[in-house]
Amino acid sequence: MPRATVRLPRLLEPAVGKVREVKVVGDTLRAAIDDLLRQHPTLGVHLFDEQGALRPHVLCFHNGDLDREVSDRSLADGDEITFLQAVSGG
Amino acid sequence: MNQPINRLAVGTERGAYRVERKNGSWTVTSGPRFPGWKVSALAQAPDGSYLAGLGSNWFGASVHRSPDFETWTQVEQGPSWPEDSGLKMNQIWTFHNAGDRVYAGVDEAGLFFSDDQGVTWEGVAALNDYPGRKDWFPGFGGLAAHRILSDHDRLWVGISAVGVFRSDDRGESFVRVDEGVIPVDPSDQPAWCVHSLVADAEESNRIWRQDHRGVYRTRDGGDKWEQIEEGLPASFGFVIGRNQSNGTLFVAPITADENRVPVDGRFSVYRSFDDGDSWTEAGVGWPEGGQFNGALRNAMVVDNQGGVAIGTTGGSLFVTSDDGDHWEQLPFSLPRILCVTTI
Repeated sequence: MPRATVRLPRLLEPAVGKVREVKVVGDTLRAAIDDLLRQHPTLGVHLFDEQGALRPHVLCFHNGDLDREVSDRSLADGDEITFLQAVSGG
Repeated sequence: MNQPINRLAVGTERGAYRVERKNGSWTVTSGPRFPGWKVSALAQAPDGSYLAGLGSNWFGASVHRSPDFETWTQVEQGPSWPEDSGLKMNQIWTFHNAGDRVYAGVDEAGLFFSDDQGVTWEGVAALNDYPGRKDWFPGFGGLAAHRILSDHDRLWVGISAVGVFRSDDRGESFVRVDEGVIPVDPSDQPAWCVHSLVADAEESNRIWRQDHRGVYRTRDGGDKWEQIEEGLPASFGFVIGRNQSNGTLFVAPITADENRVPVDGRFSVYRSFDDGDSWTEAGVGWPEGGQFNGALRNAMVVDNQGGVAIGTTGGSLFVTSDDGDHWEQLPFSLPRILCVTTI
């Protein structure tokens, strides 16, 4: 099964401490995020709303491509998944 | 002899702080904890552990626990809405201890409880599924259950901008208790915008209320309210508190809904020694040069020993240890202050 790296913003420290990178496995982006939430269940409430959608001002990148749906796109070994808070407001 | 307030926990728009008086001087001794996060509620659970309610413009709301205010752990089963509710958990507004139980009031408006010191939480269905909630309308600060009172099997919950709900059966059922208060929405489905509540610890039917539409009191648990504003420079405001040992009441008037600054830039607390029949400005020590910031609803604490602390939206903190005769402005400024509590 493909192994990927998830990068987390510093602002999520209250949920995961000093962890900035998490190694995950999954055939798809969604499966890899499920693995992330299994390892760090406290992240779920911060990344996704009650209906399972990515929070409006949270961004998810797969190898640099924005994927707001956290879709079932395929993963390959060594892929990178990055969560960021959007630059919102001025 | 009054015991001075020496230690406060302060939640702000950007983190939580502990401030302490040591050798006669106030300093920030911890913080910011949770840098970058709104800390909208701080309390101690029945076992003495600390609870923090966090919110974020990006990352939702969560509850955190600490044994010492220094190391914090997010709880995994915090207050949450069911997927099919359509509701969002936007903010943890308040914690309230009732015996060994802890309640949390949240936005979107709801009541949750924990029987294990805040580790796991369940919703109070009778309020969270209250008939007609689809017609509830948020106040300027959100659709928030922000104030909880309790006395044995009785509960009161203040929700903006909806009103006050009372349960006489430990949350199995609720009735609305706003008669006598001027509604903010006078339509056929009226709404009230309660800002804060405080009850007499010895006689819980006696409750005082800072409302959007003025200052009120009830003697019958909320069945009937009367307006009590004699001596106040303005009836608008957010905080209300009471020294339970001698009955002194405290409010912090703000000019008006549409102009949320102290009257003439004079920030101060008003107090009443007669259950709210009359009010006078409390003591000395207020800034003379103008202080154009008000206090939010959770930003005042009364310790029942003569101590009161109040924080402003400008990040200033004022403390008295003699029931408001003398006030001291603390020698530092924090981010916009959301909540203040003694620890």
